[in-house]
Amino acid sequence: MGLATCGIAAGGDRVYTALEAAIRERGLDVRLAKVGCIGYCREEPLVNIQIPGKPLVILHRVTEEDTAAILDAVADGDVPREKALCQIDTWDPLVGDPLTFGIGFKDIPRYEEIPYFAPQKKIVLRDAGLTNPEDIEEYIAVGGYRALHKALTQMTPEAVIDEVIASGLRGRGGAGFPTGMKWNFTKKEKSLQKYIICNADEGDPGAYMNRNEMESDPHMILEGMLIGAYAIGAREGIIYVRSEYPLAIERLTKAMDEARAHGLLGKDIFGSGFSFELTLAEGAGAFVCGEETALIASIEGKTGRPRPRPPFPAQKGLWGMPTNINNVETWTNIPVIIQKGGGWFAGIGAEKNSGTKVYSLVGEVDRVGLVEVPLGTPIQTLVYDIGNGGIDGREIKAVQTGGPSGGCIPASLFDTPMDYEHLTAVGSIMGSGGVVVMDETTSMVDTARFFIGFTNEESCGKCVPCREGLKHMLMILDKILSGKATQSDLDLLKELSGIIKKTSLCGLGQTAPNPVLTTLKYFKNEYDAYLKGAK
Amino acid sequence: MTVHITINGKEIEAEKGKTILEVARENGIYIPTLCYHSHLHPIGSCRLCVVDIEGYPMPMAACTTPVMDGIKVHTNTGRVLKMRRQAMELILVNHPLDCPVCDKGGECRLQDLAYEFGIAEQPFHAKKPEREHVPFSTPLIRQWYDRCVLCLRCVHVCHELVGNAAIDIKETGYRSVIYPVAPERCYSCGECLSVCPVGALTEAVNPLRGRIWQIERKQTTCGQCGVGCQMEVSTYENKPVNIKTDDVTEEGPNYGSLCVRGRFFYDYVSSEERLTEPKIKKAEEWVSAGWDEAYENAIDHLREVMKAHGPDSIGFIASARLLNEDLVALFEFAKNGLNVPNVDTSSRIDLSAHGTSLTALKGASSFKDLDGLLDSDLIVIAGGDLDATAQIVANRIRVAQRLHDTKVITINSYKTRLDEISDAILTCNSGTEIPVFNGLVKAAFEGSDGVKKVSGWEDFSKQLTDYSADAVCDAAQIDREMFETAVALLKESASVSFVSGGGLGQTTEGSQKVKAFANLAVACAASGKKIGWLPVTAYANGWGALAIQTIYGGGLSYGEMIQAAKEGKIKALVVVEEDPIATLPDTSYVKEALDNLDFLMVIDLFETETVKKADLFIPSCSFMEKSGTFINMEGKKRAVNQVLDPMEKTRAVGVIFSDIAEKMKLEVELTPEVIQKKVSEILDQDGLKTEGKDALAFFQISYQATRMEENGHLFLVPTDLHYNHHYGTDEVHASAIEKLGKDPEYLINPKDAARLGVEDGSTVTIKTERGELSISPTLSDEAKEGHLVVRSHYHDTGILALFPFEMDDETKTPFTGNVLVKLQKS
Amino acid sequence: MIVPLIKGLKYTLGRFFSKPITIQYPEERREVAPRWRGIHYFNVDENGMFKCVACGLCAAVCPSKCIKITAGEDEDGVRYPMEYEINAIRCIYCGFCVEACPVDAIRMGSKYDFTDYHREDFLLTIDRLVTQDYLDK
Repeated sequence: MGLATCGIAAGGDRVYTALEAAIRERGLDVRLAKVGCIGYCREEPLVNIQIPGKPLVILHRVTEEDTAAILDAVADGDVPREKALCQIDTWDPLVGDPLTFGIGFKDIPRYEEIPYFAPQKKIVLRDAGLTNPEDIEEYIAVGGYRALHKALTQMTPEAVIDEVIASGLRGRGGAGFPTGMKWNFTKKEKSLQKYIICNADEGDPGAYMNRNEMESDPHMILEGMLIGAYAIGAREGIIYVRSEYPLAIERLTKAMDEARAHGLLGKDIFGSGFSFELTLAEGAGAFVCGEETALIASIEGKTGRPRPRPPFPAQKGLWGMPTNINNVETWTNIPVIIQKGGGWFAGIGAEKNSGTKVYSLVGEVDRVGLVEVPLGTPIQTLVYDIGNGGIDGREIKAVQTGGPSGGCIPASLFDTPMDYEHLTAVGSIMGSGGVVVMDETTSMVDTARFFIGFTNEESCGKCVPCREGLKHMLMILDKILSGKATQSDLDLLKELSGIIKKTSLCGLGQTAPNPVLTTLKYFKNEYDAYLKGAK
Repeated sequence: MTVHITINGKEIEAEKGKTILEVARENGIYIPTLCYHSHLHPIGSCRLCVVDIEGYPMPMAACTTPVMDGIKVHTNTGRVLKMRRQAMELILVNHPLDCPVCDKGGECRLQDLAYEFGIAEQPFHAKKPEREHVPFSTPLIRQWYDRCVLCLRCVHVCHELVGNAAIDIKETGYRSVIYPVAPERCYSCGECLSVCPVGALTEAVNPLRGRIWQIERKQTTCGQCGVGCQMEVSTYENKPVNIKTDDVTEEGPNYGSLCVRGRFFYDYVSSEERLTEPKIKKAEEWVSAGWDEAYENAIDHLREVMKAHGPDSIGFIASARLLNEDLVALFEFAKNGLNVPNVDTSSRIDLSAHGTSLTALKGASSFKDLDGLLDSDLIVIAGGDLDATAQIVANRIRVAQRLHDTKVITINSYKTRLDEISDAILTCNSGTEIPVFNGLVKAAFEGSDGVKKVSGWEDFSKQLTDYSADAVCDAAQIDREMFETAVALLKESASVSFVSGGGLGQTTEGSQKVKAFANLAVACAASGKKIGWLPVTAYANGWGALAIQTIYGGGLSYGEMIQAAKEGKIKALVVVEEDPIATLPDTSYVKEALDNLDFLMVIDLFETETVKKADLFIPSCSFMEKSGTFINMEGKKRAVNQVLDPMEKTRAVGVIFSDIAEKMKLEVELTPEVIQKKVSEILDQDGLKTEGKDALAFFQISYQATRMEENGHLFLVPTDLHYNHHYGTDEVHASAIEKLGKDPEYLINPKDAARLGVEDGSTVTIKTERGELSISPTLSDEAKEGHLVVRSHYHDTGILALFPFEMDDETKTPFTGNVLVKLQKS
Repeated sequence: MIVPLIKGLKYTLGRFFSKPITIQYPEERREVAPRWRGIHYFNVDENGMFKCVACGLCAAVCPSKCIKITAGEDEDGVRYPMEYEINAIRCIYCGFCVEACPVDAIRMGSKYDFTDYHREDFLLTIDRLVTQDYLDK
């Protein structure tokens, strides 16, 4: 049963209880387990059925009423065909040996044949929706902690960093800084104590890939952090999760307890002499705390506000000690890189953009969900091939990438490959991977107003351009929407966007005007239509 | 390491690690700033300092960008000028136009910038959210939300320099507001007020206000404690208006920082309670007298006593807050004019023990001043809550820690604010400081070769056999791990500064405690470390008074004179700006002693307890009303400049004694020139005389362990009593004290409270042989088990009455502290 | 020779019967122009309170340095003049103080003569500026 926050929201927990009750009632030899989310949100709740020797079948849109039918079929060694979405006969968990489920059910489409899954390449989400996130044994069974073992027993910390550099992995938090180099900075600092932090303060509206990564495969993060700590020389780590993710916090805590019980956290791991402790810190949900220095301040118990750099966190971070911060998704890529080698990883994706990226495809698109595709995949693959275009066949006007500070990319530029450089070139950013699709019915000015409203609320208030400027942009946008604005207001808006972009202290302010700048660039006509006298 | 950069085409060689702004300022290139403050980490909130660097697409903030080799910076491109103007316009969006009623008007950074950018009107309009007014973290400062430009200097100074974190920003975005998040941590030091570039924080101490063009501002040295802070007093019509440090931020020892006393307690000098007329007591009633009449009265009485009982029966007690010039005049008058042997100052109380220690440290390579704290790898603090006694020193320690990663060891018998940044917190039992110091010497230096060459080591090392780490940790009840950390730090640090609070010398075995602490410094120096030795002094001219009384020598000490008065051997006493009743232990004993006198003459500013017992009173004037010199805690000479004319008829102490000497036709000459000459004979050009290099030497320590366990008894630990009650004489008349209105706090450890059945806030009686006091203690972890900590910041607590009148054998310092009290529920 | 004399006398006689332009100062006083800069007074608000906020601009701008102002702040943070004094003898009636005043607290009246027996009587304090007791003199 797929039971991440998304599955629960879709009613998965009710189905779970119903199934549990029914199994108990009928006394069936069926093991019911919770798994994470495979990412096909539109089709939830999802139920996987694995009958020994048969392929794994994913049932979709399951409701409580279906429980009887499902159990009837299972009792006969079959599955309810009308609910079946696809079947999986073999699966490669990358870090471990491939799993073979079995063969059969010729009439159910294979996983690879589903348009939603076909273009995807699962690295980060390789176990999501297939293994039980609350059971360390399952993670170990699919090859978990092998990479850690390899790193601790066969590799020097330098070799680990070299491998990460060779993989070309770039920070998945948004800026895309090469991870290996970042680790090297922290490693080079001489200090008694070093920290590593996992940034799980996912705050973008409509983005939930980190949530799913934590809920579906928490051990992967732990393993990545352990390897990173070993490479950097840190003895303590902190996972900073926003408190709006109770399930993620619960599963991470459970995972940490289990890892500790298995000797994978604590002193002298694998007898290598390497010790590591991990704690969890809850963020209060301020958007700006996703910024590294603000996040550190927040963990230290101060108000979450960015501070100027240098000194960089790698020099003076948490409690004044060298600190390495990476996003959840960055950490999750580490075990695969160590196990399969940096060269293998570098072979995936585009030039200078190796590996895959998880996107949350949301908005006015037919198939919403979490998708993982290699970097460099064009937007159109995401929107049309995987997403199947607009709802009810409506035409798609634009996508907005990178969370509230990303830009809007018009349909005419949908051949743009989604990688760090190309997205920046068209005025947007990669961000954490949110992709919001807008169709012809959406007003772009309204969209820009929404995002500026969001960043204005979330601005920490420290530097002048962001604090006063965004507030003012919001006022101008409101004026435009109310039809009272003139050309001079539009000019002021554009000018203000420029100041905020160029003079703000941190990434939030520097990117916050992007939605306005890109909509002004690609959809100027919509703004003009609102101007006084235009109507 | 240097790098080469060009700014506006000018080639500059700059030190690596500096920011573009710092380099530009050093080279006289102007870049406008608002939030930047030279003593704080760059804040980067105002964005006015943007500059263009060739090859960079975005302009950079000069205050946060470090120089890199080969960069070409342009500070005045059209783009950055425009951006600065726009940033400035955005700052001004919410700023009200109330300059006429704003205290800052005329010396406001924002006003200056608005003029500079020529902003007369602007395209932005906005309205700030209305908010409920919350009192600021101190009643001495008034906050104006609408004037705030959120530059965050105040927040940073409170976090970085003062370490209080009493204020912070609350809410986000345009609703952000500076908010007192932890008012209970606020020291009211006013650093936030001093860095505020606008009028968002204004002083609310006294009603008097002065515009920059109405007032006179003159630099002088603060006379309220021994740090010797440089400050500027603004005066209007012979009254102090405020204290600023804007133009002395680069001058030591305080670099623009002040504490609550220095910044806010100034208006006692213009208090209406000042006594301005000489008074003679006739038939138990005060009668105002003219100066000549008062002088005649003094002369008659002194002559009378001298005739009847000889000069040995007269005593002079002077305050160590007097100027060197005043003190020399007094000593000349008494010693050489009247041939009275008994002249002493209050430096006896907090410095004489440390004076001895200097001789043992003379051979050491040492730091000369407070700046040495910044160059030290390790700072050892013992015997005092520096934040209460000398906040400026505590601030410097925090700066050292922040900028240079200096390590800190704290040795106290209660928790202090500096423990928060301390690497080794040795909270020992009261009275066990000596074992701790000895234990540290033994553990860190016993094996080293350096100490063996130092004289006195052989005997001292024999004493050390009893002080193994185990024994010390057990006796002092300190954490073993902390002790080991402290030992490791002492071993590995190349330079160590020792800061001694007043708590060491003034308590039982004070001289021994200081010597034991000095031995630790000697051991460090012998191991080739550079050391700093900084005893914090309560009195503004402690070192000067000590040097002068040492030169003139002989006679009875302060405490001994009181004893002699009690015994009837001293018949006449002249007390100058001192208040023995509020200073010495065993209040009733002191009162009886003073009652026993034939003649008591008191020179002071206010009606103190001692003045009430006087037969003759002569008014003198404060440090703001005279010129001269202090020797501060660093041993440096600090100039005291007259900023006010003496109030009404008051005269400086030096003038009073030269007047009397003239009237008595004594053979001494006390003209300013002569006194100046005498002072320069006693003191060097820069401060204390430093004679040739002596060798290092260890002291021998005598130590007697005090009994600890006794049912219902607790150690009474006054937190640096002499610093606190010291305000009781003059500063207590400052209007700020009334506003602060802090009652004394009695802290008791929750475990003791449970053992003794004391509840939080309940009334109990504490008793000693000498007296009893009714108090209501607060349960707090800040008190160590077995201790009752008294924190009396501004008010006389009456606990002096509980101490017996005992003095140190060597230094004759009367003890205040380290006494067992019995606690009874009432 | 006689003709000019008669002309002159005629003119003189004519003046005998025309309305005199002299006014009986000090019993009578001349009407002054609306922008006449006479002796100062304090403008009051609807509650009868003077408006001065003690900003000190009048004293700063005064070319003859005849204004003395001691500013104070009450417990609510409101600025007020603890002491305000115009030395009417030193004053040159330039009116700069009125122009400088940001709150329209000080104005100039129409009274242009001011006589008294003692120098102290020419010190205009807050009370006098509000009540304008000098108007009767």
